[in-house]
Amino acid sequence: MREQMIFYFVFLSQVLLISSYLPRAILSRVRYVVETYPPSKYPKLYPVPIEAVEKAQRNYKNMNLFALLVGFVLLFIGAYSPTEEMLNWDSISVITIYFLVQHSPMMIAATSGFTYFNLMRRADSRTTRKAELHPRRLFYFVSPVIIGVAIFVYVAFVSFIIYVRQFDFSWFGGYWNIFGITALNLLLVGIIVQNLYGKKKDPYQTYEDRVRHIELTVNILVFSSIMGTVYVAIAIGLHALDFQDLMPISLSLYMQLVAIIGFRAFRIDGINFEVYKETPAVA
Amino acid sequence: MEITIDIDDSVPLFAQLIGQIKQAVLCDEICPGDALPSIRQLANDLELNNKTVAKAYRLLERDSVIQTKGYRGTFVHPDAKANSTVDLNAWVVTKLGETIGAFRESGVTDSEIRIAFGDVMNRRSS
Repeated sequence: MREQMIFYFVFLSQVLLISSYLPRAILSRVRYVVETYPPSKYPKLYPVPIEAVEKAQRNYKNMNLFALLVGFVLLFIGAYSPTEEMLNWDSISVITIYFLVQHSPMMIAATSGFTYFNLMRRADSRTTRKAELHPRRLFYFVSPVIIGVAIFVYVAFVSFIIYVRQFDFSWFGGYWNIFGITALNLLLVGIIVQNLYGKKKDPYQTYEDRVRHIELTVNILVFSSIMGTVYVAIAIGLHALDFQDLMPISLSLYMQLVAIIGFRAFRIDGINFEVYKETPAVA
Repeated sequence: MEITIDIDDSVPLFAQLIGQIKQAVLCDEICPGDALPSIRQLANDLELNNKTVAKAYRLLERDSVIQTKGYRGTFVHPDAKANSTVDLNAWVVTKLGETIGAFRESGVTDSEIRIAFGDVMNRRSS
């Protein structure tokens, strides 16, 4: 019963954090940008009419409001007809599916972001292109110690799976866990490589801003790799030690940590907005 | 050190790249031993085809302005500054001019020179 109380308290914080606090923080940053750097003075920042930007903000807000309501409904059901598992089904599945619902506004916004940058590129009529004559290498952006920790955590995870496999648990996925974590890490490595060597999305972005953005993204991705691997190991450990009651709590906390770390990517301080002016002071 | 290329310029893109890298060497903006970006990085940054940058790098390597050290990457050659002043294209034009002038003095017609030049070039490439 006590674990259930703690779980619903943690789940409430997941609902409020991911569907209320973080979206409000993101929207306030977007509003700050629109107010401080308006289309009249910074036309290159707006390849679409400002009404389209405002509509996208409204949609994002409404989608988060919907996710917030769904969260409150789940909490309400849990409070008034308590069952061992959420919705009398499976707490882990409910939390995971709800997390996807909570993250769908952000995923839609990210997809729209790609379209937005494509429109910026199409509107860019300059015939000159610039590049820095310096190589970008992984260790310029992330400490070798952190990469070392990520590799160590992965190797330790593989060893842990091999160790747990000898106990022959019926629920244990065996080497599929290694396959899943390896696939996750390969995906993250691919995104890192794309960030380091790929085309820049924003055609006006200064090199300094790009370097700062790459550094932030690469660090977030490496931490995500470490966190993802550690979380799966903890989940398997809890199951093996018969602490299944704690698994929904740990999953909810993990989801919140993922959201907080992902939120760090939305930094606007230090960005050189002068490049979006009609006649940029700094090219 | 920033390089700029103009896609509307009549000078080929690979030649613009070569010129700017040599200029950077001559102005001491990049020094012998300095690492250069990979072909993929530079091509993506300048939104060019990889083959264009690869061609520029190949010609710079031929002129000993840059050198490739396997997986470690591409670096500015130790003699890059001296080699950046050598213009092989200008040398070829001068040498050909002298040779063609000698042929003409001997009475060889322009069409005979063109056919002979084509034959020699074809023989070399086959």
